Amino acid sequence: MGAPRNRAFVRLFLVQASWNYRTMIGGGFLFALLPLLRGMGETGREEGGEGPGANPEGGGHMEAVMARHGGHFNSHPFLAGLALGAVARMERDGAPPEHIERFKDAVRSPLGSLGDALFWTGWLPLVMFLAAVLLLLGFPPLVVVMGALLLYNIPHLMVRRVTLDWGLALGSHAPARLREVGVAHLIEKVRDVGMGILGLLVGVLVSVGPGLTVPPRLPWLAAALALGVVFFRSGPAAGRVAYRMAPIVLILLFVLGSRL
Amino acid sequence: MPSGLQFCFLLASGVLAGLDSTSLGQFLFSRPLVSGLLAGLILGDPGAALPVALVLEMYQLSSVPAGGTRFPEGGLAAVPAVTVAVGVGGGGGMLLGLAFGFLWAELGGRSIVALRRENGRRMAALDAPGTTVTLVTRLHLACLGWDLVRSVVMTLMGLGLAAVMVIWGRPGRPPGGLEDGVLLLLLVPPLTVCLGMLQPDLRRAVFLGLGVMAGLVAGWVL
Repeated sequence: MGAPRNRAFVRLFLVQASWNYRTMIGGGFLFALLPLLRGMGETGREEGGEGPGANPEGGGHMEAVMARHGGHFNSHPFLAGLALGAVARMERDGAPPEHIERFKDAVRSPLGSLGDALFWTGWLPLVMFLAAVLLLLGFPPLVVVMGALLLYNIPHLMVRRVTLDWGLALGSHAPARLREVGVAHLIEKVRDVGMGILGLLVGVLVSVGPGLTVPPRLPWLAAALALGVVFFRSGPAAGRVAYRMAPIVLILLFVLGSRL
Repeated sequence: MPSGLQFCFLLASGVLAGLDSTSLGQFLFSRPLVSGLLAGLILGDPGAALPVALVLEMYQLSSVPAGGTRFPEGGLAAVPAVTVAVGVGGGGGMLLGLAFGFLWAELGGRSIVALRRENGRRMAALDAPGTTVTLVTRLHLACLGWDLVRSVVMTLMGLGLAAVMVIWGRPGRPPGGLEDGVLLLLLVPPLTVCLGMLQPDLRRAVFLGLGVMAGLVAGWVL
């Protein structure tokens, strides 16, 4: 399964290419699943001559499998590999189609919301806020950009790869692995740190922002950090407000800064 | 104005940002902070690019590309926005670049919606019996190809308009150039409209727009 797995892993980066409002990532899911289905034609069920990959150009069982997986499906793109690997494993093990369909229905929302919380509203803002702080403190832009790309993409690539492997190894039990490693707890920690760095960003903007010098700097920085702590302690609602307000605060600071 | 080589790099940077936002990996190239700073480095003035990239990044962060939500395409928009900011220069250039970036990000978001609708029509071919591996691959890669075309067109149009704005906005150039203060007043309405688009509730968007306008005018007057 090594080569098909690698091909599926590469195809997962394109899983959203045919995103649409009807089947969402369903087409991309099938596109990424194809190497695994064809790989099964060389191992596992092929011994009985009934493997899903028995005929790579369609027809018979392969056509039925493709028809089942080309419909609606959605997930966070970074966690889609977990569902993909699990479905491939279940197909290889000969699980009933209705069982596989129920599995896909069951994991769709959790994989979407977990991925959104971990990456789109957790890790991504954290990395961007940190990059902004470093840029405002005078670090070279190229170094900061390269650092941000590395910091963001190392966990990103690891999550994509590891979840695909979990799916292939554990089949329908793979989602339980997410619970075991404490993803929900990790999300909270990432958001806490992100909120602290947002406070740091506000403080740095106020104290060393372009063209804006408001003495004394230290009390402003302390106040901004305190604000970050308040957001951190008051929960996600305040966090959302902070995210919404951040662009407006920044624009005002820059406009005022350009005039001072 | 960017040289031919700089234009090629800017085009590549915009296209990469456009593809990365949905179709290709989401490796962070579609973030305004990354694409905007890369554009600034290409144009040799990362300092002028920083405020534009940073503000567009904050704007982008307030929307989450989850499910079928429409989100601004700030990464691609940051490339022409930074081109304007660097080309015009000064506070006026920054404001002009920002306002253009907001508008272009919103238009980019709408182009993604149109592409997704078209993808839906294209992928409906999978509903018919007789689906083959070749058909699945061809349809999926065709969608990727159309996103490539969309990204190229949006970047080229953005850079073209940016060139016009650089000529129009640069002080001392015909038709006379504009003072920063006048530019600020001219650019407040489109900027606030774009900020208001973030709010699904139109009534609140009006309040948000009024608040930002009042804040900007207060900052300018006081």
